[in-house]
Amino acid sequence: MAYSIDMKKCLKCGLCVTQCPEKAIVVVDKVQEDDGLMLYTCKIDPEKCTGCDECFSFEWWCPAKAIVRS
Amino acid sequence: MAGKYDHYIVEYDPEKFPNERRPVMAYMDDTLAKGSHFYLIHWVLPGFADNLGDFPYAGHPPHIHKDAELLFHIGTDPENPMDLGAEVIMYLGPELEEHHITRTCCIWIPPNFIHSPWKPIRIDRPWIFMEFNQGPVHTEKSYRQILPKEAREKIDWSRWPDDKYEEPDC
Repeated sequence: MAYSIDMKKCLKCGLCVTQCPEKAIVVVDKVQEDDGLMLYTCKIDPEKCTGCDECFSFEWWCPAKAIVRS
Repeated sequence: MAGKYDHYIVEYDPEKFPNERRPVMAYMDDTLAKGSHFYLIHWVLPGFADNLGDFPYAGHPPHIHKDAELLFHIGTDPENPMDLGAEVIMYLGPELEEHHITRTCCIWIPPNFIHSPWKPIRIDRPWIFMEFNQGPVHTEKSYRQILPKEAREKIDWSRWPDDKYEEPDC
């Protein structure tokens, strides 16, 4: 199984980075909005991902359901 | 006469929460009673929402919690207990699906599920709101990025800080 992030759905909250048990999701870019909100562009590192499936199988693990399994 | 189980009877102490604007009736969490989940129960009186703003998507902004949450909306008319006696706007999901709550009910909020804005838009008589969280303490992370720009600019974000969430390592 391979996992990726659907950037059309992603809210760039960065929650996935803090939740991934294998620390396989990393921040590749961050931007601060005018009102102070930090937005994180993240990606899944296939080298670190063990395929535990937690990010996909828990219904709201990603609040935007942006994790894609293929 | 003092009993050895007096400490199990906990009365809400408003002095501990000086910034509370609601008439809170009960509050409990793991810091007050080891092993307890987080509970908050308050009245909702006419005028409750006056300071939440009067614009589309005003109210407690969209957010998530680490643990599941149950939001009980309890009507108080003895002749018609299932009538809430109020109308509450509640948005559910990242799509901001709009719901109008007018009946006594419980809203189930799974962990990490985006919910709110939540705002009473009509209150005919006092009713009771109960927030039961299935974790030991309150947690909250806002999702202001899903709001329209116009609403986002009108909200005082200092009122809605994230609670017990860490920023990702970069």
